[in-house]
Amino acid sequence: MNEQSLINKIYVKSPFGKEKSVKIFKRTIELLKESIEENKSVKIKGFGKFTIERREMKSLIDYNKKAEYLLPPKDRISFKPSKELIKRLNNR
Amino acid sequence: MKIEEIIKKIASEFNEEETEVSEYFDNIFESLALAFLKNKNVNIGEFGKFKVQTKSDEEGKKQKSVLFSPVKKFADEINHNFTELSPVHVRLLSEKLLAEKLSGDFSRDEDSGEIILIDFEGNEFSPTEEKPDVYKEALIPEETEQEAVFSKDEQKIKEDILIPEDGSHEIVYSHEEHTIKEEILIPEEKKEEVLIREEKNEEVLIPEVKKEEVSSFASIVSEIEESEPEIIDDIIVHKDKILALLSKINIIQNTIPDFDEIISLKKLISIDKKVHSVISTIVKIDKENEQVFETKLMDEGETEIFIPEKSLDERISLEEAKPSELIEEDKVEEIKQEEAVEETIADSEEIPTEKTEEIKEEQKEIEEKHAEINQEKIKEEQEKNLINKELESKLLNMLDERRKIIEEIRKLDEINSEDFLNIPRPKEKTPEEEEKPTNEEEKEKPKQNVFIDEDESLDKPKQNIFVEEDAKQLEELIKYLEFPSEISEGDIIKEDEREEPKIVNNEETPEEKTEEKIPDDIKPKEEIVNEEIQKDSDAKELENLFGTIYEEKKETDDLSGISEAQPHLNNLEMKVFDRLLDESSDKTEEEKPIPDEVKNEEQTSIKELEDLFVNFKTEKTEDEIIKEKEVPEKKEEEKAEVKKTDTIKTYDDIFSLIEPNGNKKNGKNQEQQQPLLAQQEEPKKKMSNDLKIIIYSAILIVIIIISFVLYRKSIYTPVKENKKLPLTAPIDSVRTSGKDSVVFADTEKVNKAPADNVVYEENDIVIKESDEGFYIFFGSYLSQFELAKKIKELKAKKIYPTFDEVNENGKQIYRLKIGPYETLNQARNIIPKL
Repeated sequence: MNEQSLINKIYVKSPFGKEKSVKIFKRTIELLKESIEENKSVKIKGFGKFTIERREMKSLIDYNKKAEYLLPPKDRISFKPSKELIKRLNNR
Repeated sequence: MKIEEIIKKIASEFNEEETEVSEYFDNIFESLALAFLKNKNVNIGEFGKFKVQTKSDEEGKKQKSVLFSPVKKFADEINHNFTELSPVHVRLLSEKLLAEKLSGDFSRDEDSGEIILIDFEGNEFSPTEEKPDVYKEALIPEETEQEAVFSKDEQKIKEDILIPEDGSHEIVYSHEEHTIKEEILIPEEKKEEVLIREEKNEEVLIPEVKKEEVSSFASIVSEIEESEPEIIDDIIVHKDKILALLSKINIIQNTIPDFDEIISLKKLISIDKKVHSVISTIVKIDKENEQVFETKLMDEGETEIFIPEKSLDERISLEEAKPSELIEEDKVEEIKQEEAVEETIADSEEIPTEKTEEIKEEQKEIEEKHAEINQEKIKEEQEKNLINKELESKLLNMLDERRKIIEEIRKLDEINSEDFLNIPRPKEKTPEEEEKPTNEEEKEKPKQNVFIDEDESLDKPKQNIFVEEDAKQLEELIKYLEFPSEISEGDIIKEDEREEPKIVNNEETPEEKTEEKIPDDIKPKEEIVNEEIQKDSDAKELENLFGTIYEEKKETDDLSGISEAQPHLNNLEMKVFDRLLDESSDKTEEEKPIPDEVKNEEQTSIKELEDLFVNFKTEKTEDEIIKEKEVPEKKEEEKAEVKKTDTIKTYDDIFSLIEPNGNKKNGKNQEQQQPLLAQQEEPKKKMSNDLKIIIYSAILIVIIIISFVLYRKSIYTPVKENKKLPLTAPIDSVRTSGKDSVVFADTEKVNKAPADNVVYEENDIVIKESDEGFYIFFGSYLSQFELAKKIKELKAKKIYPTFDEVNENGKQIYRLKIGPYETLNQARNIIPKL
């Protein structure tokens, strides 16, 4: 499912016009990103939670090369769907 | 920033109410949830992807969940602190460690991020544990210990030294510091040990791996200890670079010292001394610098690391230019003496006189040997060249002889020896006869000179037999033929009464020939043009000589046949044929009137020709037989009928069949006989019957093969697919239990027709039961093309059918089927897809 098809579905239900709905959709996503970066966690009711997790430094073994490597730490996004959503998916 | 704040911002920017914006915001995520319910993956640009996944729990139940993977830009923005970092190679693992980790004895948790201190023997320990005495000494690798002893604060942090690729060294990490690019340092706890060790001058334990290196290096060091003990310590510090320099020096052992090698050795010795002198200077410079910095650091109490300003290479370059300043005075003189010696050795070739004489003698001997070898080689080459020339000359002679023989054979192919009968011999030319003029008409016409091309290849069929000299002779002889005036009937020999000549080396001997006396007056014919002969008297005389032709022609008095007669042989050939004829007539040599010319002429060539003619087969070919049978078309006015027999041929028949070129003619076209001096014509190549048969048979075979291939292509044959199941095989067509299931269409398995046990029917679809299972039959086709189309459609739906061939009323019908299935319900569930 593309972004356009998603916007079309939203547009039908919303009171805004098509062009405005597209602009609002894009602006919401940008603001969502910024909030995730600042707060490091964003929760949306009925949908899920976006969080930033840090993976610390760790070692890695390459059995083919018989060598050991050190991986640096890393910050990454994780998404956890809410319980309501999971129920809806599984109770189909 | 929370969601409420987001909504406010949007409302302010777009001048909308917050309620509407909040509803819009909720609609976004509801539509996403609805898409997830439909098992659809959503991709939002510049944000990420949402994927629906199904997982099975421990109980076996399947549960769905949603995964999110951000876009690269978004992920990099979040990981902006660590994007520049990359993984670091730590060490190479030994087989023991790998085996332990593969077996499951994980001594470290990869996810925890903890790092465990490891010994270079592979033994692990933790800093909290009590350190045994053994590990105390072996905690730090050699380099760090030595660096700490000899140059405490001059530790090098280069990765090449600390993290070598060989894996010989093993690294110690600082457990406390969590920096990313952890540079290896001696921990604080161990520095005390290092200082203690300095005072005690304890020995350093060296592992077995490094003993080899140490032993080789120790030998070098021991040699230097005797001379200069102060330098040992400094050399050990710069071990690597010294070894690199020494590696350039290839000391040859157990070799015969040649002149060049002696020089090279002395050069090497000079280089050694240079290196030694350079190193000594470097060491002293370092010491001076160390003393300065040691004073500083000891005062401040810091443990910073010191990197020398100049590298070794730079120092060497500088010190070569100014060695005298830094070296002590006592040693300067020694060094100068050594340098002077080195220059003389390196630059000049002067060597002690005793050795020069020996060396010169050796050189001379070597040069003499080389000269001898070269001379021998030259001689061999010359001999080879001579031999090659001789061989070439012989080959050329052989080729010339071969050509001659082949030409003669070709001439004989055209002519049969048995046909030449009663051919009078040519008369000797007198000089007067040669000078006498010819007819006027003959003068006017240009005489075409025919040449024999000896240089041409033998394969060419040109057979221009005539020669100028022989042609002229024949012309003159014809003019001055002296025929007998009166010829009685008895002189005329008829065809019936004639006897065939005896042929040597031939089983089929013809009838014996009657004794025929060739009168001396008779002369051979000349070259005759197509024009009519002016004198009838000459014609009449010829008639009497050559038998039946001219008897029959008496009525008509047509002499065109005579004009067409054309001799075609040389003098030599004529002579040879005469001999053979005389031999066949069983005449003795005395009776044979052999002219003197034959004896005086080249008898060797004649013998060769005789040998060839003797071996020449006189059997007639089929073409000749056919020609003999074909009666040539003649004009009634001009020619008379010619009676031909298989055994005897008349003079006209002979010359009529043979063209001036020497080739044979068709018996029909006697009128078209060309004169002797006609244009040269290449004989046509006649295909033998055998070649024709082979060619026709080959063409037939090719046609058959092409037709067979086209026939096979026209017939539809289904593609034979692999019987192995793919990983993503559809569930419907796979039988889980029992033997391997039939998934793809195989024509090989068509022969087994299921039993007529109909279990279920629905709208032209029938389910039948068999021993193998339940089959679904859903269509029958007459043509293979329609069948193929249907199969393609079903394969697109991931249904893989088979088909049965059935003959009904003389027609072949193809029935599609799917299966087999274990249960009837499985088969029913597939029907709606069809």
